[in-house]
Amino acid sequence: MENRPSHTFPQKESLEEHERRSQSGESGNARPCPSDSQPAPANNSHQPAQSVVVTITDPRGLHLRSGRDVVRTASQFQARITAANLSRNSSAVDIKSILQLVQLQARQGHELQLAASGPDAEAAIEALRSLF
Amino acid sequence: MIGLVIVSHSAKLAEGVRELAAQMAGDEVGISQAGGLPDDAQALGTDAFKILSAIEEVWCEDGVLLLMDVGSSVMSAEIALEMLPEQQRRKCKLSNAPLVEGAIVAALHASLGEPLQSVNAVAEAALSTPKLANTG
Repeated sequence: MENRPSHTFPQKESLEEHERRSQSGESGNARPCPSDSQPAPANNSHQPAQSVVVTITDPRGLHLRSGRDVVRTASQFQARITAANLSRNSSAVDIKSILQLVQLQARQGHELQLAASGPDAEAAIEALRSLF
Repeated sequence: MIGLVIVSHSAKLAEGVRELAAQMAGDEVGISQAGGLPDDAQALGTDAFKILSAIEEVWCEDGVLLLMDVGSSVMSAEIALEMLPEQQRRKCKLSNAPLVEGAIVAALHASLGEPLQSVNAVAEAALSTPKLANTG
């Protein structure tokens, strides 16, 4: 991490921002995910890929109506945004699709890894993590 | 913002699917239903005039997407479109999407302000999106 070239600083800063929020209790159950687990960002993207792990708190799990709100929020961003259900070891799905999102079959307590890449990836992750 | 019409042999099914779709869309999207036969609401079947009324109920210049259950509901919907004036018919589309999944997806994307062809494309993508995928 210390040897990252300067153009990756935005991601480092965003992780630090996440840590700060986490420590100050602003982030709910979201926690930042180490960038090492993410694929390398494309050379032409303005920001590196962003990622966060969130925990489902709703006793009914991630259902149609909460999924609707996730899709609506995700659709406001240009970034490609995916989610994988870590608790089911699922592959990542496109969360701009309600049918793919509910394929995650996310129950209360399940951990989802949200990942975004594209020019507004950081803002997308910030907006989405507040929904969980 | 486009309108949606739910077509089913069963008035109860049409009402239930409309309820689901309305929950996904909020208040801004016009969603109407045409289920059962006109003379007897309990009788199963589809009726072109009922579908025509449902189209007129949600008509808007952005277009109307029709979602049907199976079989003759498609024929009845085709006949309903033939009864429309040409300039309205051009802005109506029969969707190949499955009824329940298609209505949910179409309602959500219609509420995002997407155009008719885009809403239909994402609804028809439901044909290749299995329920049980990705749960290893």
